[in-house]
Amino acid sequence: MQLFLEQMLNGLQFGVTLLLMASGLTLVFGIMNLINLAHGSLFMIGAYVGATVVARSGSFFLGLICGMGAAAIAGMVMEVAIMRRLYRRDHLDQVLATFGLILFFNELVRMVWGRQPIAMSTPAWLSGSVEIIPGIPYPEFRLAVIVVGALVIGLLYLLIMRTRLGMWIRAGASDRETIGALGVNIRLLYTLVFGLGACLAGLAGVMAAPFLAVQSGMGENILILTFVVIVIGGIGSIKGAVAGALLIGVADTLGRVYLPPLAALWLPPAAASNLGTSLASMLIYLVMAAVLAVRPQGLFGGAHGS
Amino acid sequence: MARDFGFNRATVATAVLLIGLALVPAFAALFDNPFLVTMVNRALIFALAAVALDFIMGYGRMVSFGHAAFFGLGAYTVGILSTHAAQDLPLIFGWTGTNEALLAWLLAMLLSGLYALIVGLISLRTSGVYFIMITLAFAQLVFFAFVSLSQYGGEDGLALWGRNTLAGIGLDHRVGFYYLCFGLLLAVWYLLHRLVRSRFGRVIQGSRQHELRMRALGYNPFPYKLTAFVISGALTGLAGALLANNNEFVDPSLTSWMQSGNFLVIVLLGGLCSLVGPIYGALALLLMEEVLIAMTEHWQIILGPVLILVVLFFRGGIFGVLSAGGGRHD
Amino acid sequence: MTDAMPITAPIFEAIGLRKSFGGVHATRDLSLTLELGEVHALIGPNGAGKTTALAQLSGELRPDAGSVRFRGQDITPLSMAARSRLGIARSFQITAVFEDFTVLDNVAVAVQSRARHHFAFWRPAARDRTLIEPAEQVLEQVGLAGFAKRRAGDLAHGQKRQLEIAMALATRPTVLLLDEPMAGMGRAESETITELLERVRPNHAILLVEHDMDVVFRLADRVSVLVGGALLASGPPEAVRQDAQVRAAYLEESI
Repeated sequence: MQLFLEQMLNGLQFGVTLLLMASGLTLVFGIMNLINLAHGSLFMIGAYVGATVVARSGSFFLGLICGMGAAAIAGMVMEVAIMRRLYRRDHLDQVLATFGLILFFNELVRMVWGRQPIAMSTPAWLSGSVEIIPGIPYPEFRLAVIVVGALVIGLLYLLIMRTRLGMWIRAGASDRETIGALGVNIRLLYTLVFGLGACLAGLAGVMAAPFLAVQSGMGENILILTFVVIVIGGIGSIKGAVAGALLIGVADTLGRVYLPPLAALWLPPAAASNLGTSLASMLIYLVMAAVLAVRPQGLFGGAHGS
Repeated sequence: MARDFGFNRATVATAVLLIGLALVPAFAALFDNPFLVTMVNRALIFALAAVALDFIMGYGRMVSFGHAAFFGLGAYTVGILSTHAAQDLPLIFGWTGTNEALLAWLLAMLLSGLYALIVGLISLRTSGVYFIMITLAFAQLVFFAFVSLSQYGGEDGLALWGRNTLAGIGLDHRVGFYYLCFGLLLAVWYLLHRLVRSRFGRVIQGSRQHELRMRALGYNPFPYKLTAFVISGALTGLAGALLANNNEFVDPSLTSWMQSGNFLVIVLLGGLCSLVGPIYGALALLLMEEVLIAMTEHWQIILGPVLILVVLFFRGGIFGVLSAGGGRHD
Repeated sequence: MTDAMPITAPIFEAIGLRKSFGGVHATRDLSLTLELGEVHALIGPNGAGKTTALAQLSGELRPDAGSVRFRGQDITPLSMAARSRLGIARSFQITAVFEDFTVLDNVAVAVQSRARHHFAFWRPAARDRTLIEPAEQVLEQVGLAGFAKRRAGDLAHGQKRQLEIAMALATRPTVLLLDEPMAGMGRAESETITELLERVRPNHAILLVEHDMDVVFRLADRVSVLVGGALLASGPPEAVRQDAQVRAAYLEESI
């Protein structure tokens, strides 16, 4: 029971990371109609810069700021140099160009940080445990990730729904000409939105780094899971993104914990651990297939166009 | 007139290309470089998969980011069947696999086609970015399935005991295998060339251009798109079966998202919606890789930006430029 | 306001259609009938819900309430494709042609939709006489015979509108639902299509959504006026023209 509760929270934590990624991706897709495969690279940049700054300075907070900042800057440079030329292009062109970006960034981090994964430590002031329910301790850092992630998502929601900037963003999504006529600088707005999405990816990267091997290619693993979240939830649905992220976060985490011992009931230990781990990896895709078989538009999606 | 000239230029270029490909073994013998044959052979196999992808992507606007799944399924079918045959190990119902290409490659196409049917049934009810994401996810599913096959090497892959035999004749002869692959590529190209111009092809192309109009004319595009998707998947499986023979090795990376990305790159580099373009694309990518690898181990840091430049400034790909304005539909 | 019901049942009929989008009522209790051999014009100011109504008649949209009947059979649950196969063709207000196909091939695809055999993989459709000959006849009818080999995307706007109608006719329909077929056409093209509709009228039931009042009053046997999603008036052209409500709501400004 204790293990189960702990793993549920771990799943929640992973779900929050996925939700941060999904928000940025959806924001950019919803407003600029751009599919950005390099969103995972921004996550990776956040993780690498965060881990490096934490290691050098010893300050987790500084690492967090630098990781988010680096991702945001990389995102905005990307937008100005490449993405804005792709908004009116086919999704196929966007996929190919951002695939090129992935190759570039993955090689870049190999050149700067080498091929070996680097590790990131959790800050000392968050390395204890708290008893969430009497008798059940849970690591403070993981709890902090959940709280910060939830807060940021909440703030993002308020920003989009309640502020003037958010109104522009929503208007820009539906009607580029009108918003242009209002005297809003559409180009700058798009760059800022892209930067915001990148910043969220950077935040997710830094917060997830202590639990992952920080290495070249890490961004794509999370990107593909984020796609699954979006597909399950339904594109453009906030409720759907939350539900999808939590479902995938929990399913992935629980699968990794419970499937290997389950497989061991039938198989020799070595084979069981191997099969269990891959079954856990396959589990989320099977969940996705099951959801889509019943609801092609995702859990909360309306009718969707192309 | 300009268009006619462009068409002729593209036709001439393609004729030269095909004659050149037919002469590759002779060049290799002349310069005493047998490796050249294996290398170009690899490009031909990738071209075969990419032609199959262009069929649905160029003509049907089904942007599959998961064709590596079918490629890997084809390759693993050959790998697993030949491993069992070589060791005389029962695979299923006491059957010990086969090393005969006629059977193994057919099964490779059947299995990839079957998986394409499942993926298509689910993903073709959506379109646009959804379709891209779902096909990618279904390829990941296959990737992890192969990683989990520890009895066939898991993550490390599986070395074949030798190449298949075709109607009893071994495929170990480098040049013979090259011409077999070349012949299959031409056959598949011709098949799809006929297909896109047939009534069936009309339905596929019409659905790409204006699906609502097709519905208003009384068509339900789904079964046609699904059929095209399955044909494309099965042919990609054939390419996988050939690659397993060419490399005498299969591993899960054949099914990775990078591999799916490579197929997209080949199609777009060569020229979307031309069927012949992917042959140029596969050769160009191969050539680019060879040149860049010779320059630096970090060659992808150059390849990435090159791809971006291709998208931004080289629309229509190689074949599009050759036929000057033809080829690409937007 | 309604005209006397004919003795025989109408071939095509909408009964009490309702449709709303997020609280906005786009169609309110709309009923209308089409007879074989008649042109029934549906007019109304911009935003009156004409295209939404047509979308429900053609099957593109499902009504929230009400039904659509064809030859006495309830076809409300049928998709647009299924209705098309029964013989209910539509044209689009926003030109919907296959831009990459030639003009001839556009019509040939429409002919093929009646011929079935779509799972023919080998024979080139471009050399299929059974598709080309009927397609050429239809092009002749709409006045596009000289443009058969032209890429549809390269046609002038008015010619695309002609092609639009050609595709609808090529499916050999009984009911024609035409959404502003003359919009954006030149005088001569518009004249060609008006004459064409006169010619095909005897064995078709035509619903004509149109802004050009000259065309409406020249072709229509009946006119229905849609305002705010509801029928304001319906009847013979002269009666509708004299209707005070209609004049107030609509005609004054447009004639």
